[in-house]
Formats: sequence, C-alpha cells, structure tokens
Amino acid sequence: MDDANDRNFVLRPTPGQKFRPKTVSAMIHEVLGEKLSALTTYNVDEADQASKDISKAIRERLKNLQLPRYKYIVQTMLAEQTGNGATTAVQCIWDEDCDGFISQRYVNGPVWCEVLVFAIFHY
Amino acid sequence: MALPEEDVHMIIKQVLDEVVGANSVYTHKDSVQWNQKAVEQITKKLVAAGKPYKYVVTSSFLQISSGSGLNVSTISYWNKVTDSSYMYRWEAKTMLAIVYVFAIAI
Repeated sequence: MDDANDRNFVLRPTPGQKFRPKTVSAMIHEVLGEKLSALTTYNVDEADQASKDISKAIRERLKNLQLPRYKYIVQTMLAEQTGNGATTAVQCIWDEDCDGFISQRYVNGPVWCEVLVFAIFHY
Repeated sequence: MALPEEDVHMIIKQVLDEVVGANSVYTHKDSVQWNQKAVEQITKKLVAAGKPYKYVVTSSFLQISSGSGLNVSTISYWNKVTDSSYMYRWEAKTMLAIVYVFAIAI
C-alpha cells in the first residue's frame, strides 16, 4: 500500500509522495531564467504574457512531479525595477504536516519577479 | 459553500482600511508591519466564518511613485467546483495592495 492512488481515503502522503519545497526551488529558478533572461525592457503586454507563461510552465512542472492528491496554486508577480518599495506577506491556515509553500525571487535588470507556490494535500 | 465574493472583499477592505488607512504614507518599515497585520486579521476573520476550508492569504504592498508596471497572475491546479480564489485591489495615495485569498475545500 505505498501508492496513494490505490487508497480511497488518505490522511497523509507517503514519505516519497510528500511535497518538499526545497526540491522545487531549483526548478522554479530554471523556469524563471528561461522565460525572463531574454526580457530587456518592461512592456505591459509582454509582462502580462510572460507572467502567465511562467505560471503555466511551473504548474506543468509541478504536475510532472507526479505527487498524487496535491493541488497547486502558483502566483507570479512581475514588476518593473524602478526602486519602488514592495513587500509580500503570506499566511495560510492548513495542515502544516503535508502542505507546502515556497517563494522564489528573480531579478534581471529591468524586471523583478516573485513566484509563490503552494501545494495543498487533498485528503 | 465557500464564502460569497462580496463577503471576502468586504473583509479585506475593512481590514486594510483599519490597519493601514487611506491617508497613510508608504514607508518600508511600516509596510512590512501593515502587511503582516493585515494578512493575520484577514485570515482570522475568514476562519471566524466557520467554513470547512483551508485558506491561503497573500498580500503584496507596492509603493506607487513613478508609475512603474506590475503584473500579478495566478494559476491553480485544483477542483474548481469546490475551491475558489478571490482577488481584491486596494489603493491609497502612495501605495497599492493586492490581496489574494484562496479557499481550498478539505
């Protein structure tokens, strides 16, 4: 009974099927580098498209992790680097044991980007 | 059923008006504190509604000064029948707050 797929009602992911924030951090960074390294100026339409592309790409990669019963939320913030102040705060009410969160920031000359990923286990 | 959208918007607006206030001026130190306080109170009020959901609240404060561009997008992979997301945009003279609330059915 290792596979959560075979069970109808699961309270905990098996150790191998648990979402581990640290393991996806490199993946997120890779996606951001791929999508943003070519961006030289901040352009409204481009940014709109780019942030959607990033979210989608990360979601696909998360799905490819093949962790059963996990739901994902990906939030991408893409902004122009002009020295404006910005802060982000997050609070979650969830099961600390199996749900996970990671934030990753990427700065590239004219733009900065912050990605928040949440993984929520569905019982 | 998840909370209706208007209720969540109302909660967010109330909290931000109370914690920050429309006439406050953005400073980095204050904004971090406001932000933390705001998400804390928003989650508290959401939980007080007594619905069987897990909540994720994210809030971003941005200073508005030179009209720099910002784009926020979210994408989720979940059950769209039971789970929902809410977005609220709150503005004051020198800052902009974008709050997202995600409610995930247990």
